[in-house]
Formats: sequence, C-alpha cells, structure tokens
Amino acid sequence: MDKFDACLTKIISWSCIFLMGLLTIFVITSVFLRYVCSISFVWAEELITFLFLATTYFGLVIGVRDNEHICIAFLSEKLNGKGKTVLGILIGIVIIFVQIIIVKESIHWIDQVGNVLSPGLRIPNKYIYYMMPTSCILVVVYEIIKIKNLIVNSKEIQKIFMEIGRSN
Amino acid sequence: GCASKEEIPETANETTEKSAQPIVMKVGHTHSAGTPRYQSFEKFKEMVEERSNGAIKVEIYPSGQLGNEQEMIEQAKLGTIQGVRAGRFDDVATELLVYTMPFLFDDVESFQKVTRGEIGKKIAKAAEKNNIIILSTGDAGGFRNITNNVRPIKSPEDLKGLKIRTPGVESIIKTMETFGANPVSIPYVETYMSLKTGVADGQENPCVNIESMKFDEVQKYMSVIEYQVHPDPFYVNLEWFNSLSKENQDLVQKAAEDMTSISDEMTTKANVEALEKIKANLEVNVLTDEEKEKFKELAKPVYDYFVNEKGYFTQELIDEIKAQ
Amino acid sequence: MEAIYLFMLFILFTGVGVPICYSLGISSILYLVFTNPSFLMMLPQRIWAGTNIYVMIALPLFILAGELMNRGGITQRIINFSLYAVKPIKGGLGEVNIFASMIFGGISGSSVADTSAIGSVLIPQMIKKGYSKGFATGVTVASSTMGMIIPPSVPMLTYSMISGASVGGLFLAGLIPGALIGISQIIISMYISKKRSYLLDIEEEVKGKKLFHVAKEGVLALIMPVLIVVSISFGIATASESAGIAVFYAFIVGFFVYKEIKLADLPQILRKTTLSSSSVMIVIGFSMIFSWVLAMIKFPYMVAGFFTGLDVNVFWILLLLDLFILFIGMFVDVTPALLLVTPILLPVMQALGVNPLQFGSILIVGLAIGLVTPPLGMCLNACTKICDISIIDIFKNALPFLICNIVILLLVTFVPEISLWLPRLAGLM
Ligand code: NA
Ligand code: NA
Repeated sequence: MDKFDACLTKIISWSCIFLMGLLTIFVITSVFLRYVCSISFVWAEELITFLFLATTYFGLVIGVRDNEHICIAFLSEKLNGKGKTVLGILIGIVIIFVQIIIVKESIHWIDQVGNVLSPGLRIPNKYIYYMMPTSCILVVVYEIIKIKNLIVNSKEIQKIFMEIGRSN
Repeated sequence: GCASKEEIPETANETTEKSAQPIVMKVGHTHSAGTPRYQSFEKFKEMVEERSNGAIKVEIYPSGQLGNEQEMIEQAKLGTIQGVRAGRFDDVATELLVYTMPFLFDDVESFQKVTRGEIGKKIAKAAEKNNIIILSTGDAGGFRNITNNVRPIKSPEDLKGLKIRTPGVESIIKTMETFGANPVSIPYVETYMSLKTGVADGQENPCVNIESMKFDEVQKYMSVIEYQVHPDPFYVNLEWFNSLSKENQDLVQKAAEDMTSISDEMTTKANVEALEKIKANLEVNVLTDEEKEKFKELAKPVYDYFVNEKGYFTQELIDEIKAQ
Repeated sequence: MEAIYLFMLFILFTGVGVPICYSLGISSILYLVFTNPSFLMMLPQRIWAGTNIYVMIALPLFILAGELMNRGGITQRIINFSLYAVKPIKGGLGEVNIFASMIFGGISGSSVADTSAIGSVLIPQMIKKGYSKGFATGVTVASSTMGMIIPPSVPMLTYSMISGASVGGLFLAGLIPGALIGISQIIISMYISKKRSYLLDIEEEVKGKKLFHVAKEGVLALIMPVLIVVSISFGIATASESAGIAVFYAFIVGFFVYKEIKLADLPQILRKTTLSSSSVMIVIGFSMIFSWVLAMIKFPYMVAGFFTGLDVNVFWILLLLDLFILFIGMFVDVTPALLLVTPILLPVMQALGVNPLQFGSILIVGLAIGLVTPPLGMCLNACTKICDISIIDIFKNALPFLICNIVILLLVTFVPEISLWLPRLAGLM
C-alpha cells in the first residue's frame, strides 16, 4: 500500500509540475508573440485554460494527499488520541461522500452535454470534462489510504479491534 | 366591501386550481437591468402569468446569477431551468449560425421576415435533437459595425492588416480573416483598455454595445458596414414544453413571440439612439451599396467554408433565405 | 429564510474541520437532497464553472512569481531596501515588515502570498531581535491585508469580472486606501514598539552594505512592482499577461543576475505553486454550487430587499453595508464572498448613488479584514503554518493594526473621492 501511494503520488506530482511549467511557458510565449511579433492565436487562450484546469484538478489530488486543503483545524488541535482519530475518519468519510456524488452526477452531466465542441480547438468538451471525475476518484483513493493509516496508527482503535477479535 | 358577488366564484375557482401547484417556468439570461432582453423578459412573465390565470409561474434569473450563457444552455438542456435566451448557437444547433453569414441580410426587416417565418421555424427545428425547442427568434442587437483608430473603412484594402478585437465566434473570426484583418481575441470587459492602448486597432459590435461599453471614447472612426447580425433565440427545454397541456403550450408560444417583437422593437430603437450618440464622438462613414459589393464578393469563401468544409447548414437553406 | 439552514450546515462542517471546499459541497448536497434532489446534477457543472475562469490564470502566475522572488533573492533585497527606507523615522523591524508589505503588495495580487513571503523571511528575524512572537505574527498578517488592496489584486480581477467595472480603474482606486492603511499601521507599530522598547538597531541588518550598494541591488527588485502596476493599470497587458511578465522577470533576475535560483529548485517551486493555486481555485469551484443554491432560493432578492426596504438615512445603510461585509468576511473567503455579494448589492448601491469603483473599494477593503479574522481567515491560516502559534493569538496581536483597516474602511465608505480621485484623474471613469 505504501509503495502504491508513493508511486501514484510521484506520477501525479510530476504531472502537476509538467502542467504548471507548460502553462507558464505558454502564457509567456503568447505575450511575446502578441507584443513582439503581433501574432495571436484564438485557440491559444483555450489551450491555456485547459492547462489551468488540469493544474487545478490534479493539484486538488495532491492537496488532499498532503493535507494542504484550507480548513479550520481548531477542533482537531484541541482533540488528541482517539477523538482526533475518529474526527479524522469522519472528515475523510465526508470527503469521500462528496466526491462520489460528484462522480455520479458528472457522468450524467458529461453524457448529456459533453458532445458540444469547444469554440477554439473544436474538440468535444467531454474529453476535458473527464478530468473532474478522474480527480475525484483519485481523491477517494487517497482518502481511503488516509483512513487506513489513521486506523493502523491509532493504538486505541487497534485495541478495540483486538478486543473484538478476542471476544470472537 | 370585501365579499362582492363576483368574487365568490373566482375564489372557488382558485381553490380548485390551487390544489394543483402552479407550473413553475424558470428562465435565465446574462443581461442586466435596462437592456431590451431584461425588460422584454419581464413582459413575458407578466403575459404568461396573466394569460394563464396564474397556472404558470415564471421565475426570472437575470444578470448571469445561474451561470454564463453556455452553462445556462446546459441547464436548459438538462431541465434544471426551463428557458434561456443566449448566443452560443453551435451549442444548440449549428444551423443557427446561418443567420450570422456576412451580408446575408440587407436590412433588419428582411432578417425579421426570415426569423418569424417558415424558414425560421425550419432552422429552429434543428435544435430539437438537443432536447431544446426554440419558441421564437429575435434580433440580438442589430447589425454589427467596425470601429478603429487607423482609417475609415470603405474598401477591403482599408481593413487589411488591422488588429480587430473579436469575440470567440467562429463566423466572425472567419469573416475578419477573409477580409484580410488580423483578429485578436480579447475578453469583452478588457476591450476598452486594449483599444485605448493599441493592443487592438479596432473592434466590431452593434452600435448599442459600442455606446454602452464607451468604445467610441477610445476610437476615431466607425464604418457602418452592417456585415453581420446575430439571432436571439429563446431556448426552452423540449421535454418540459411537451409536458404542458395544448392550451398552455399555445399561450407560452404566443407570449414568446410577443416578447420577441417587444425586444426587437426596443433593440432597433436603442441602435438608432446609440448611433446618434456615437456620431458625437467619432467620424462615422456609411458604406454605399457599391462599396459593400466589394466586401460581399470577398465574403464568398466564408459561405463555402461553413457549407462545404464544416457542413453546418446547406446551400439550399442559404438560397431559400436569399429568395425571400 | 431557508438560507439559514444552508449557512448553518456550512458553519457546522467547517467548524469540525472539514476542508472549506468540501464543507461548501456537503452543505449544498445535503440541502438539495432534502429540497430538490434533481438539482444535484448541477453540482459538476457549477464546480467546473468556478474553476474555468480565464482571468484567474493570473493567480498561479502571481504565486509563482512570488515563489521565484523568494528563492531568487528579490524579496530579501526588497526587505534590505525597506530597512534603509525606514531609517529616517528610526523604525524597527515592525515598520520594515509593513513597508515591505506595501511594496510586495504592488507585486503579488494576493494577501496570502504576502503573508507567506514576508512572514517566512521576517518573523524569524524579528523574534531573534527580541520582538514577541505575537507582535511579529500580528504585524505580519495585518499588513498583509494590503496585498489585495494595493494593485495588482486578484480579488479586484474577480470583482471586475462580475461587475464589469474596469480593471485599471479598480487598481487605481485601491492605491490611496492601501497606502493610507500602510502609513497608519506604521504609526501604530512605532507607538507599540516604543512602549514595549523593542530594539531599534536596524543598521546592523545592513551593516557592511553601503547605501549605494543596497539601492543598486534594490533597483532591479523594485522595477518589478512598477512594471506590473504600469502594465496593468494602463492596459499595456492584460492581468494574466502581466503575471506572465512578472514570472519571466523574476526568473531572469533571480537566475541570471542574482544567480540564486537553481534549476534543480524549479520542480519543487512548480509543485508548490500548483498546490497553492489549486487549493484556492477549488474553493471557488465549490462556492459556485453554494451560491447557485443561494440564487435558486432567491437569497439575493432577500438581501437586496432588506437593504432597499430600509427606511433610513443613506448613512445608516452604508454603515450596515460595512457591518454586513465584515460579517460575511468572517465566514466566507474573499472570492466566494465577492461572487455572492457583488451581483446582489451592486444594483442596490448604485441606486443609492455609489459608483461601482467605490463599491469595489469598499468590498475589497472590507473583505481584506476578513483575512485576519477567525474562524475563516486565510492569512491567519498561512501564518500558523509558518510559525507555531494559534490563530486566536495572532488575531489578538493583529487587532491594534486592524483598527487602521476599519478606519480606512469607513473613510472609503463615506468619502468617495479617496477611491475615485485617481481613476477620474486617469480618465478611467
Ligand atoms: Na497587490
Ligand atoms: Na507584512
């Protein structure tokens, strides 16, 4: 599991780095072309937007992995031990629930409206829309890993499991 | 007197109708208060609610509260809202783009004759494959003209090489390229600054937009070329419309047509007034028929491109419109 | 009144520590499940719409420029220059912190970027010099509010997108209020420093470096804010383009001139940029479904109705507006707050004769205070990450400085010329 986590994280991290690098280079190049060479491409703006969307949705996954998402940690700072673990698991479940609803609804949404062509590059929007459910599924994967780690690392909860095992 | 004789049957009537909840029609658009679209939609609400005796309730969501035009069209397709007036023609039916072909119409009257007649209905029919019925088609803002800072445009040579700000509408970009201009894509809200500082030399828009966005303050010339006009279709969710009783369908249909007439009249009036205001700020030249002819000749490849290469609509449709 | 349930759900979930974006999501989902489940299908579309905003490309680029400035030594040189600049007023590091934020405010479009950039360099130095941790963090977050008030400013871009007001005009409108906040905060800082007798030996900081040397090195760093403000305010480049120019400039200076950026650092910088940009964008995305639900239940009409229904003097309405903005700013982050409040209140305020540029200034100055107030204060969040101190403690120490912000908010509200003078001078209104 840890190996899988490390490998997946590496792939997504490098995708983010690559996408953000590309985005920056494209913006700077388009500025250069417009001001120095007086050239501008209508499709360039769209391509840059797609790259931007990709950085947002893949960055979201890494953000969940690294616990970088903006939140008020007031309560979890106050708690410790079992309370903290239980809270962490509950928050994880909320996140998983939200993501699963989005995946379910977005499949319906893409099915209904995904065939509209993008105005600049003229490719069906669904190929870009698919980034959203993909990133949601990846978030769910990381949340499951996180919940698993919380349980493994929590002595109290392990004790409960052990007691259940003993009574059986 | 609170209980006059006439009121008794009315209240009785109301209770029977109220047992069935009023049908709610949610409609949206992106325009702000004071615009023809905003005001004519208010009239639509009044007409539908009055004519249906309150059986249909219209809720308007203006100013892009529910999203931009593309997103509201999606919402209308999905049935979250029931209607929207917006551009984005190829999201609904590419056939609608035929209205935007350069110099297809000589004046507003011939445009309205097509949108309100049999050909208009035929074009509207194409939207049904996307679960949309177009109840009526109006004029989105009048004919589009070109302003710029370099020279008055009288012939295609004058337009050559000018950096013209264009919206992301394929037929505008293609037409500008064909005329020899250099289209520059800049967001609508940033157009004023880009014209002021020369990021773009000029732009193209109907007079109302030029006046309301104050482009006339940062431009020297306006050429009344009237090269293109945009339709203003009222997209309604087809499934929802079919679920209405025949009686209700007819009254919504009629109210939509009345709304479009009101809107078209306001648009035409607003354009005349805007042109007067613009004239005070910049040099206006109106293209003569001979001058326009050169552009018309040059525009032929645009038709070819959309008919043959893209297959958005047929040559027969264009011939039919021209024969009107 | 249905809106109350939605707000309560949101407060409940954020309160227990669910990330803000998912709190917005779960409260909208639960609300829809119980009222109109068929509307759940709007969830993906609205989130997508919130993240698919072209002008926001300026956000990652400004963050990246900030990162490159930190690694490339530009930030340090701005601080060195600030040390010299506050010398005539016998200032200490507290005043340097504020002055540096004024300059940095002219570079980054975001206050959170300012907190992390200046805070990570200056807070450790201040503590070493005998300043209390509370004072050091308090002055950092409070002065960071200028990041989004002094142009360029990402929230102003958002406001311009919603209201249609000119970006150049908004940027100029923010200049005077921003400067006033800086100057008044410097005065407060001098007063507190003197009372607590914090050390004033700033010369040591730049010892061995001649003024000429500091100024010469500072020039390259200081060109940057000028470059950005001029290019955007005068429309030479769009906001995202000038953010691109800023990245290019920061990289060239940091890599070729100061030679402090190593190519091996770039992946790390890009990863961090993606993370920061994404965590902000995703909150905007989720706030769109939240505000769509609010629009559907006609919340905007309710608030507008409340304001138009008030039968009192304009003075009281404006005062209520300030309080309402401060209240919203406590619970909602700047961008979603702008998305919710602007379309509803702008027409109401315009009817009262408030210019859209001035209304923008009121919103920006007011919501900036929300960055430093719990429970949801983004600068507080960034600062707790830099040094281990609780949000409440930072807030307590920031309070004296926030009084300046509140006074300026009132000035901007009741004296239109503070925001409108410069835009009018430049012919942008
Ligand atoms: Na700024
Ligand atoms: Na600061």
